[in-house]
Amino acid sequence: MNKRKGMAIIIVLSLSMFLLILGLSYLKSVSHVSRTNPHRLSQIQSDFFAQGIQKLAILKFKAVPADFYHAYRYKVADEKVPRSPTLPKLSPSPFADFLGNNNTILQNEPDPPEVIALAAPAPVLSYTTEYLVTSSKKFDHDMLEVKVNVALEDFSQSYTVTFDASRSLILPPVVP
Amino acid sequence: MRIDNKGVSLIEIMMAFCILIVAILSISGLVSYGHRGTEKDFRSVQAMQILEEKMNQLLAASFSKVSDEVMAGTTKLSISKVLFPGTGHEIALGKTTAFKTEFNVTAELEKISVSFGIRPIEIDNNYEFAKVETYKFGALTSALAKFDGSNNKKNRYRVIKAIMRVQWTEPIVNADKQIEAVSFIVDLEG
Repeated sequence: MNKRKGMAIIIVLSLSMFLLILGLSYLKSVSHVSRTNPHRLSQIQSDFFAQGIQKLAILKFKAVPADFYHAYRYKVADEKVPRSPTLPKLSPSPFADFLGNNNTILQNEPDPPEVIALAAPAPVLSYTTEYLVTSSKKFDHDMLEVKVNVALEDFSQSYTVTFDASRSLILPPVVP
Repeated sequence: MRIDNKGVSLIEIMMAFCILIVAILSISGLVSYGHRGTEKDFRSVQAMQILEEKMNQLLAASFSKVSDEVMAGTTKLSISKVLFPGTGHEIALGKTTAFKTEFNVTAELEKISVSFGIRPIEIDNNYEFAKVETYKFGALTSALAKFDGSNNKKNRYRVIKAIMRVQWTEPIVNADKQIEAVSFIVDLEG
């Protein structure tokens, strides 16, 4: 029996198989990039929208800082354990009202989820905003932290920005 | 002794050749398809880079500068030209070519009315800042933080909604594509 008979086909089939594996692995890597791209666009849209909402939150704080600080101090006292018995119980709390209920400019979580008009045409389905006051430099300075949570159909992320929000007492000019 | 040299016949060579041709054609088809996909992805990535760059440039501009661009009497404007020419901070919108593809960049600027609800602190004779028990809060209102352009100073527009859009045409299939992002330019000076 001739051992070389049929060798050419076997060699060609092996070569074809090798080329097929190469081609398929190339296609797989290409399709992986295609899947990544839409996520990248969602991330860009989410980043820019969150930046905008953070600025709106800062605008609100700058427009009514005294009302913010009083509402925040009330919230801290209200959540303190043990709670002061002389502290009046306010429901909803002034700070909850400051943050806004659902479907206000800083909070929006439609049920069922839909693209929010303020964010359109970016496909943002919901977003929320939180404020946190922290102190630095041995409590000489107030820092205001604004956290925005944004959700798109295939992507959600939280963004935090912190800035110096120290208060200083401005005395009226002394009249001689 | 007779040497057997009939191991590789003409038919066998022909068959092997045909199989090789079919395999090579299929693989080249696959590679060509992948290459087209790569080019398409590259155009998308390029468009996203342009979108990011132009939006960052726009958000870095001051509110007053952008506000001047949104002409008096109109609240919404679609722009596809060089923004802030001659200032050293020009933002080139309109047509731009990258990776042999023409991208069209437009910005849509709209002054939007915004109001924030708060319960204002009411200060009376019992009020002491250090004693939270003395705080009195009024009813929820949005009158104290309202920016709807109804009054030139106190209630002036302070928020501009900015939409940046990048459009291009996919060759071969001749399909129009566009991507967009939204942000806000806010007057934090006052």
